[in-house]
Amino acid sequence: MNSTQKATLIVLCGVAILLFNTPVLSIFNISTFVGGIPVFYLYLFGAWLFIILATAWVVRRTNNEAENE
Amino acid sequence: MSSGWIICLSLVYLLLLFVIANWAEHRSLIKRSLVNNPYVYALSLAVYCTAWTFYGSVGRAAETGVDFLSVYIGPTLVVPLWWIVFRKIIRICKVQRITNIADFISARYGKNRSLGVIVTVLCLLGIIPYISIQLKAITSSFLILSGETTAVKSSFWEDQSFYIALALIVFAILFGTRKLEANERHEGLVAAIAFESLVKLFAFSAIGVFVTYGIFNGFGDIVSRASTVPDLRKIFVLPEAQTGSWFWHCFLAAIAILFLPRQFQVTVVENVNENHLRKAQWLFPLYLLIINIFVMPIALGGKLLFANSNVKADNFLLEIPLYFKQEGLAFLTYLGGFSAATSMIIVECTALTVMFSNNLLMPLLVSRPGWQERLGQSTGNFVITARRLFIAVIILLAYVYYRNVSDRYSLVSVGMVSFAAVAQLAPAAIGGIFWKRASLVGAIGGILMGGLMWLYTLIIPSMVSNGFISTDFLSYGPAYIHWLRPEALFGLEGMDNLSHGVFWSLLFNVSFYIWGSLNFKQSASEHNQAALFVDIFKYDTSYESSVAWRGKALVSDLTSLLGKFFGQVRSERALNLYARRNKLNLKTRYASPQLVNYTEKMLSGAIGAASARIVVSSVAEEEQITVNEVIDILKTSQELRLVNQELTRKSLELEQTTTKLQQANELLKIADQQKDDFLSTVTHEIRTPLTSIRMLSEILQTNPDLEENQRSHFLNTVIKETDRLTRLVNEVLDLERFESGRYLLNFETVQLEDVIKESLNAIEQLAKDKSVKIQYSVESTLPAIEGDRDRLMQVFINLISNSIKFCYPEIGIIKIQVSQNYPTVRIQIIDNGIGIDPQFHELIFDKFYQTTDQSIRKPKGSGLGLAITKKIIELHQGTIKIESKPEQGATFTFEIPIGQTKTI
Repeated sequence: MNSTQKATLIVLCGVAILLFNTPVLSIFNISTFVGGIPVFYLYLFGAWLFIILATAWVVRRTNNEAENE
Repeated sequence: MSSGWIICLSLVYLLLLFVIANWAEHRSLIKRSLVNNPYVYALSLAVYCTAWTFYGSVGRAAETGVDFLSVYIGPTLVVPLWWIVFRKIIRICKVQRITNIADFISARYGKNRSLGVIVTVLCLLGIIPYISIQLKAITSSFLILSGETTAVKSSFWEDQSFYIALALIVFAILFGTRKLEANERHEGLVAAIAFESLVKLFAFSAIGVFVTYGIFNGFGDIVSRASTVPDLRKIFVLPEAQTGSWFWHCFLAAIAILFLPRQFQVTVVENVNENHLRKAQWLFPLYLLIINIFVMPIALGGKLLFANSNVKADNFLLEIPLYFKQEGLAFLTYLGGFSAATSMIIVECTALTVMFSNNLLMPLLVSRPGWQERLGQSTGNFVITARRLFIAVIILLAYVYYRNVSDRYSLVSVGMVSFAAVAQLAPAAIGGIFWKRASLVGAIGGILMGGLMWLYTLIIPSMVSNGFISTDFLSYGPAYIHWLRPEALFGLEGMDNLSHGVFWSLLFNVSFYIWGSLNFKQSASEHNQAALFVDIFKYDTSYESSVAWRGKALVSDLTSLLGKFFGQVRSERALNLYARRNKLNLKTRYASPQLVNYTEKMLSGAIGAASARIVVSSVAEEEQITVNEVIDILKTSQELRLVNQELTRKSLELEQTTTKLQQANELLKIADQQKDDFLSTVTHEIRTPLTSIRMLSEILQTNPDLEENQRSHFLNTVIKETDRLTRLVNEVLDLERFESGRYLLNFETVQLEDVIKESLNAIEQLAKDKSVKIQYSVESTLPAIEGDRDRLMQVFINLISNSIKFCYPEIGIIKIQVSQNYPTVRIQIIDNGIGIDPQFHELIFDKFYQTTDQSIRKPKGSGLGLAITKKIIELHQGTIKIESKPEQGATFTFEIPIGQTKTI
C-alpha cells in the first residue's frame, strides 16, 4: 500500500468521524420522512454504507503480497 | 415448546459445532485449511455481535431509539485504519509469538510481569459482567421459549441458569483448552464461530423479515403506524441531550473493537494471513450493517403489538413469534441468540484463560523450582488442567454476577461498562506501537489510574443500586465530600453516567501515561522492545538473530525444558526442524544464542513472554545486559546498515564516474580524429587555390609578353581563387565559432518572407547564369519568428545555391515552400537536380563531406556550407533533413520554432 492510499484511509476515517458526529449529524437529526422512512435512519445507514464501500474501494487497489513500510 | 426439547436441540446444535470444529482441524492437519480464507476470517470477527446485539439492540432501540447504532457505527469509524494499526499489531504478535492483549502490552514495556498482571485483572473485572449478560440472555430466552417464569430463583439448585452455566463450562473447556499450543491458534474454534456468525445473521434476518413483511406491510407501514404514537415518534431522532453520549458510545465501540480480548484473539492471534485483513476491513462492518437493518422494525413492531402488556423490549425477538404461534421461528431466534452468546463465551474464555495462565499462573509456577521438579514431565498437563479450572471459575463468577447484579440492568448498559474497562488498554497499546518513548511507568500508571477511575465512576454506582453501598455515597459523595460524588466527579454534571465515567477514566489514563513516559527512563529490555514494536517492519526479518541475548545454556537443558510443556517427541521435532532450517548444530554441548532465543519464543507462545524468560533463564546463565549494551547492539546494527548503504552508494557512484570517463574519452578520440580530418581537409582546400594562384602568378611573372586577354583571364582567376580562399577561411572561422559555442546569435523578430526575398535577390544572378527557375510560395498568415536575420539569410543562400549547383541548366526548377506547422515554421527547398543517394543523407551535413566521396555530388563550394547551415538551424532550436534519390531531385526541409526567444 503506498503512502497515498494510507493517507486516503486516514482521511476516510476523518470523514467518518465528521459524518457521524454533530454538527453534521444534527443536519439530518429531524423528524421528516422520505418514502415512509425517517430521514435520520436513511442518513445513518447511507453514510455507513458509503464509508464501507469507500474503504473497500481504497483497499481493493492494493495487492502486493509482501509489502513493508 | 417443552424445555426438554429445547435442551435436546441445543445440545444437537453444540454437537454440530464440534463436528465443524473437528472438520476444520482435520483440514488444517492435511494442509487444506478452511480458516485460511478472508471470508471465514471476516465472519469470525463478527464474534463482536453477542447476545447483546441479538436481543439488546432491539431493547435499546425500543427504549431510546437510534442510539443503539453507535455500538456498530463506532467500529466503522476506525475501520479504515485497520490496515495501518492491526497489520502492525499482527506482525508484532507473529514475530514475538504474542497470544493475547495482556502479553502484548507487557511485552512492549519490557516483558514486565506486574503490567501483565494488571492488564489481566482489569480484563477479568471488565469481561465477567459481559459474560454474565450472555448467561442472562441464554437463560431468559430459554425460559421464554419454554413458557416458564423469568424471575430469578432463590436457590440456585432450582435455577436453570446455573445448569446452563455448567453446560457452558463444559462446552468452553472442550473448545478452548484442548492441548497446549505454541502459537495458541485454534482453527476449529475459528471455523465454529464463523459458522455461528452465519447462524445469528440468518436467524435475525428471518425474524426481521417475518415482522416487517409477515406481520406488517414493510418498513413504511411500521413507521407510519408508529408515528401516530407520540411515545414512539421520538425514537426516530436523537434527542439533543444525547448527542454527547452518542459520541462517547461510538468512541468506546471503536476502541473495544481493537482491544476486547475476544476481538484481539480472532483478529490478531487467529489471523492466518495479513492480507485477509484487507477484505475483512469492509466485510466486517458490512456484516454489522446488515444485522442492524431489521432492528428498528422489530423494535417498533414489538412496541405496537405489546403496547398494553408488560413485555420487556429485550425479549421482543422471542415474544413476537410466540405471540403469532410461530414456534419454529421462535426456536430459530433462540438458536441465533444462543449462537451469539456461545461464540462470545468460548472465544472470550479462551482469550482470558491464556491471559491468566501466561500472566498469573505460569510466573508463579516457574518462579518456584520446587514445583517444577515435582511436576516434571506433566507440567504441560498441569497447565491445561489449571486453564480448565480457570474457565470454570470465570463462568461461575459470571453466574454470580448475573444473579446479583446484571439481572437488574439492560444488556446494553452492562456491556458498555465492559467496553469502558477495555478502553483503558488503548493508550498503552496504541501508544506502544507508535511512540518509542512510551515507558513502563507511564503504562502502569495510566492503566492503574484509568482502572481506578473506571471502578469509581462506573462500578460503584452499580453497587449502590444493588444496595451494597448506601445511596448517600452517590448523592453526597464519600464522607460528604461533594466534589467526589462518583456520578458527578469534580462537579461534572449533565453527562450520562457512562460518558462521564469514560471521560474521567481516559483522561486520567492518558495523562498519567504521557507524564510517566516523559519523566521516567526506559530499562534496557524496554528500550529493545520499544524499538522492535515501533519499527517492526524494519526488524521483523532480522529479529531472530538480532535479539540481545548473551547466555550459556546446555542443549540438553533446553530440550528437556520444551519437553516438559510440549512433550518429548513434539519438542524434539520442532528443535530439529529449526536447527536444520538455520543450519545449527544440535550435537554441541552448549546451545547457540539463536537456539536459546528460539526456545524462549516457542515457550512464550504457550506460557507467555514473562514466564518464558524466567523459565529459560533458570537453565541458562544469562549475563545481565546493560542499557548501554542494548543501545550499542541496536546502534551497531543500525550503523552497519548505514555503512553498508554508504559503501553501496559509493561504489555505484564510482561505477558511474568510470562509465562517464570512458564515454568522455571516446568522444575525445572522435573529436581528435575529426580535428585531424578537418585540418587535412582545410589544408587541402587551401592548397588547391593557393597552388593555382601561385602557378598563375608565376606564369604572369615569367611571361611579361603575354597577350592582353590571356593575361586578364589569368588575373581574374587569381582574384576568384583569392575570393574562394577568403570565403573558405571565413567559413572555417564561422564554423569554429558555432561549434565552440562562442558565437551568439543576434535574436530579433524576423519576417521570414522578407529574409527569403532578400536571399533571392542576392542569388538571382547565380540562377540566371545557369538558367534555373525559382518558384516561391508562402502561406499568407505566416507568423514572425525569433531569429538571427543575417544567419537565416545565410541558411537560405547556402541551401538555394546548393540546389542551383546540382540542377541541370535550362530545365532546372527550384521550389521554395513555406508553411506553418505549429509550433514550428516549415521551409522546403525542392529541386529537380541530380539527387543524392539515401546512404549519404546523414553525411552531407558533415564538414567537407565531399572529400570522402567526390564522385556523387561534387560541390563547387568549400564543403562547409551545409555543415554551417545545420549548425545555424540547430542554434535556432530547429531541425533539418533531406529527402532525395539519385536523379530525382532533392528536398531540403527545415523547421524553426515560432515562439522561441531563448538566446544562445
